[in-house]
Amino acid sequence: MNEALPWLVWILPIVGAILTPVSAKIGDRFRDYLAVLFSLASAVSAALMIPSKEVIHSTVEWIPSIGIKAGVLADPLSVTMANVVGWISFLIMVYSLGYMKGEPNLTRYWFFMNFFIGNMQLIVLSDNLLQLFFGWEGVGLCSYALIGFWHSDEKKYWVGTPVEEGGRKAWGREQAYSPSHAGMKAFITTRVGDSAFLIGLLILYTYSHTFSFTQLAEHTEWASSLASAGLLIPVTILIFGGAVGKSAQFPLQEWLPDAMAGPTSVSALIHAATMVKAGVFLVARVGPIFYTAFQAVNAVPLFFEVVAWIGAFTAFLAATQAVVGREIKKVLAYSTVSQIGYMMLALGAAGLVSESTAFAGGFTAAFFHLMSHAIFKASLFMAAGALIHACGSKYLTDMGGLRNIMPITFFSMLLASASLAGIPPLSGFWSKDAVLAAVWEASTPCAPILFALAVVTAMLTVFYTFRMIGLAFFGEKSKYLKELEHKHSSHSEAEHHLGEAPKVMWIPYTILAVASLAIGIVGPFMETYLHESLEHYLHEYGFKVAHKGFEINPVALGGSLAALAVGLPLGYYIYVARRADPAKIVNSSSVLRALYIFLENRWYLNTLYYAIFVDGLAKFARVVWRGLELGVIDKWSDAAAIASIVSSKAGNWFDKYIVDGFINGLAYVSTIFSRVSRRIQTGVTQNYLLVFTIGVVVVSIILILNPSLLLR
Amino acid sequence: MINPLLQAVFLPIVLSPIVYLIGRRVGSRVGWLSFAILAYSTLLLIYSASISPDYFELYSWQPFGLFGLRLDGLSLPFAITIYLLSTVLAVYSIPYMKHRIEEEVKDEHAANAKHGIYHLLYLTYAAGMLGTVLATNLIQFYIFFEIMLIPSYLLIAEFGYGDRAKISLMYFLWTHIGALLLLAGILTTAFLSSWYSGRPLTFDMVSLLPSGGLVKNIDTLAIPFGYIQAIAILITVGLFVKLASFGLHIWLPYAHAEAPTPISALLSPAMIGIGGYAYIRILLYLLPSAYEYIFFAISIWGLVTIIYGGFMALMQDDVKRLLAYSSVSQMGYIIFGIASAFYIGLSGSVLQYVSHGTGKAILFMTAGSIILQAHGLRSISKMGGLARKLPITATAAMLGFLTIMGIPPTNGFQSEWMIFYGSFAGALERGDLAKLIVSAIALLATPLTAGYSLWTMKRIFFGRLPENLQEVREAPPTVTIPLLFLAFVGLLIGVYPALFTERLFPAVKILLGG
Amino acid sequence: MEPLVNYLFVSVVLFAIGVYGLVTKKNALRMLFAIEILINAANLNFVAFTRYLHPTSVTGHSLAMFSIALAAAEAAVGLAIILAVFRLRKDVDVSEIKGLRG
Repeated sequence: MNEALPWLVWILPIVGAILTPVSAKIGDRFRDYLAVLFSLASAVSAALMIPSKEVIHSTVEWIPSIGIKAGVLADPLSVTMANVVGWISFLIMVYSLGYMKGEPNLTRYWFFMNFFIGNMQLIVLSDNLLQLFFGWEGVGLCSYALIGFWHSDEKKYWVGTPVEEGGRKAWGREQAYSPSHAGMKAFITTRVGDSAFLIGLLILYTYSHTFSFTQLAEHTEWASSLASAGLLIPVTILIFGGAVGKSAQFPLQEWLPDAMAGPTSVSALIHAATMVKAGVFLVARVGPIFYTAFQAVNAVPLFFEVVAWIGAFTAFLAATQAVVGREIKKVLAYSTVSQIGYMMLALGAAGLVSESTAFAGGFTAAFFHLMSHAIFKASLFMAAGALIHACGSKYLTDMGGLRNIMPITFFSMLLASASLAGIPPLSGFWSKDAVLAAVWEASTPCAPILFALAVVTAMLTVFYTFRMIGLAFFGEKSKYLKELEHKHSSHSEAEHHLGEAPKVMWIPYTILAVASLAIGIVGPFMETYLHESLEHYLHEYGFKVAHKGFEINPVALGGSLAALAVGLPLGYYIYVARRADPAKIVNSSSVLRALYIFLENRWYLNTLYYAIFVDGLAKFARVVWRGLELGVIDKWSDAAAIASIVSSKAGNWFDKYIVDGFINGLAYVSTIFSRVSRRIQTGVTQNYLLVFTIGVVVVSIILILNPSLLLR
Repeated sequence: MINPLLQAVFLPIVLSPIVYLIGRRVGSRVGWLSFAILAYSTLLLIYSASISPDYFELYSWQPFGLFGLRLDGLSLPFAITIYLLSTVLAVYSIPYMKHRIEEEVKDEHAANAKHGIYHLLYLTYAAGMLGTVLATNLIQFYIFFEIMLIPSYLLIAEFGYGDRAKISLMYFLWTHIGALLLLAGILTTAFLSSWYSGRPLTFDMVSLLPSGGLVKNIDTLAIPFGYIQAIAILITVGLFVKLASFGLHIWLPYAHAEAPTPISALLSPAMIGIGGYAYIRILLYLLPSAYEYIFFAISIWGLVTIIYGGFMALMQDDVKRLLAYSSVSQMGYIIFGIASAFYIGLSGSVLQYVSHGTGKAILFMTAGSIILQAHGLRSISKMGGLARKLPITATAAMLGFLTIMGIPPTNGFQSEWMIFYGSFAGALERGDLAKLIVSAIALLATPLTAGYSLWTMKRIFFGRLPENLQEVREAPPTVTIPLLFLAFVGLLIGVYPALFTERLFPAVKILLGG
Repeated sequence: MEPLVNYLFVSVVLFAIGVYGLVTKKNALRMLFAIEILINAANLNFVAFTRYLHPTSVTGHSLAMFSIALAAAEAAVGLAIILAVFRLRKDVDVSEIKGLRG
């Protein structure tokens, strides 16, 4: 039974997905509940794996001739992750029952949701990189399909603000996208990351001849061969490239904000809690292996520097963009990118320690923040969905004063936001603190800069979080909302119910918000527990165990509190208490105004990518198409054809005039001859007789003169 | 079951006149007879494969040597793909050709006759392709090569679209010239081999050992390198015409776009890849030193083809032309895998043939489904939002594109990783940095495939549905069932490639190292 | 006895007259007369040769007898043809009958 559990965790949702079209024939409700049931089954299987402390590693043959096996590996890292994924997924599936109620095409929705969960669990539980890649691409596919769920692309589903609704253009390009476009963008961007991943992976395989994590950790000769070929660092960074794509880190971060075109439940599941964490998970899986490898060949752990820097920069970049976000989901999306940056930063810092015992510190921090973030971000997204449903608009500026109308949602969101902002004693505080501590303790010369970036980002985080809460729940109702209510009261049946969300929706996100609080209350213990299990896990990989108790790093604590001290009052003053008008503040200074536009245009990075990779490549293709294909190659082919036609015509001419002419000439000659000889046939008998007589006479004369002719 | 391979190759040819006669009476429904014949032949192939991993039949065939049919690990994927596609497309042809022929021929009697002709040519074409990949004798190979050329030429000329007389002729001339170059290479190899090794002239690639196995029969080790270079170039250019590699590709977009869609679905997926098969079987096997000489050059050629095909696909408005350029790009992958000089890379090329076979066949079939249901619509700019009207077609198209993009769990992924792994491994083994970089660039070009695939998917199936397409309905089961069946096969191989790899890897290893 | 040659000479003269008549005369009846003269020339020849070279034999004489009978028959047939032609064309001018002109 134990052996089967890891397999069940990822196979059950996939079976559920395949059964969805079948169950849909029986009935819509049956289909919906069955889908949710399968996700529950998977989560329960994951939970059942927790009690047994043993590592389960089960394999089957896959491609025997090159020794590749498929398998599952249930160790502390993957069991924890599987439970995080499993339970949050289940809660979001329950939420979907309410959020997606009344939507057409739900069969497709449930199919891809379950298929997604299965593939995500496949990533988590795989015991080798090739199989992980299957799950990796599978979640990418589901992400594409679910972002583009409303593929009829009606304007109301677009993400961003179209120009005709007052949207801003960046470098002449509109920044609003349809769902199908957003899905395509996500897939292609992550594909770039995945190509890098694949290159790194395949080169690694060339030297290691195994994809299996345990094998890679045990026999590290591949590391020395790679290092001597000068490929060790490139390979590790390329593999990280996949994580950069999937987790929307710089420079591949632009797809995630636009993925908000999908339904909010999708955003919660895929783009907050699980899929985007896959990159972090990957780094967590391979991090220890690479660390040991680097140690074994005495190589500079440049890989970890890169991870840390990309994480820190992305965290900062995204946080600045969240500050000016007008759509609630986009604010949360930027926030997600930023927080994942923190996780990457922590993982990077983990590898930059001077003794291997300290690796567990950053590692734990990252993982704790992953769990913490998954919980509160999923909660935030689901609550945002409830807000959007209630107000009928995705814009924060269309909300306001909802505190009393939707109290439960307010309570949930407040808790979750506090966690995001890092207010004690919520879980977010402890996890963010752990990250800061890990960064500070990294033994790299740039650690202070990284630390400073992290703290500034934390300040921005607090600010934008309270901005969001303030805009949605405090102050006056927006003009839009007032009009909506007016319409409401004049119709008996309302399309948008401006009240609290239904139970099936608020229960899941409130559970998660409370969980965030609960974990926070036992924060130190939680952290210690995680630290221990992960150390245990790392021990399997050859790391030494330090058995440190829970410590508070004063610098980190100082940083967290400083962030709160700066961000909270500012956010509160402007947005919650509404004492100042942000628009006036920005417009009062041209510097601020320029900064605002710069941030709203996403540092022009999005536009830059479009200019180079979309328009640029399209132009290139067009030039090559016109110039080379049509202009040269087509013409060669035509030239060859024309040449053969010309030679054929020449042959034809020759045939017609010369060969035929010769024959005709012969015929002509015979005709002339005949015309002449015809004259002999006069038809008059006497002429014949005359000739006959003359002939006889002539012959007789000859014979008389020469009788010997007769004697033969 | 006597001589299953012989039956599999010749039964369709021999029965084609009967199919013609029946077709004249019955019209498009004779497609079921074609289907039955081809299904039976496919089963024969599977049966032959189950007898032995290297099953062959040899018949005496003076003066050329032995007429042999060999189903080993290398030819098995090709053979199964060819016949599987042919069988499935025979069913697909029924509604499609009914529509096509009735577009032009109004009289029922004449239309039925045309159906008969179509199926006669179709069966011959399928059998010709199979004969090519099973052949063990060089002349036999060449003959089947031409046997597949002539019916396809006639099919395009009779049933194609657009300027079909010119286009079919262009197709014929290009491919034929390629075949002639190949023939020149083959004959030179045979003659020079005999001359320099002192053995009698033979065209048999393999001969029978007393133990019952097969061994290489043409010994080319003694041929001077200068000749080897010339032969390498001749055969490469000749086969690359067939593979539609960059520079020699111009015929393909015309031919595949204007051919009737079931035939496009055979031309592109099944037939052009045979160039790759021939390359491995003839050049690699018989002339390893030629391969050594040329493989870096062809890896560059393959890379250019991949990228060029992808860019050209971006520019197309006609959906069939777009798929044709996509095929050019995919053939680039096959070439690239062949250039890897490593058995997994070569096997990846073979699997790429299979995955491109299923994937592109699905895509052409979906294009045909749209043409069928939307009354001849081929221009992408006039499409949109069709996923609502053609849900099964759209799902199949998505799977087809995923296969082309090389995303798991489709078989496209298995072939892609093997090709690139082979390329990297081969480069690293030799310490060849240039090759390593070339391989990395090729892998980085795969998002280009994702780009045109997803963009096309979006433009055809998502977004707004144009006014004139409101009446479109999903295609009949004779279209959707073949589509789903092929998609299923693709997924099956994608998840469990061992179906082919277990025989393929050893066979290729022998071809390379042996 | 007269020398044979005299008879032969008469025969030749008669033959020449016959040929001359045949060749130059346009009237079909006149050609018939000419033919008769030709036949008589031949008969004379036969009889003369037999009498002088084989006095005891009657070969030439019998041949002459045959010839006279045949001449009569031939004249009949010839006249019949001329009559038919005359009925058709109202004219017995041989130079007008050119149907077989090539």
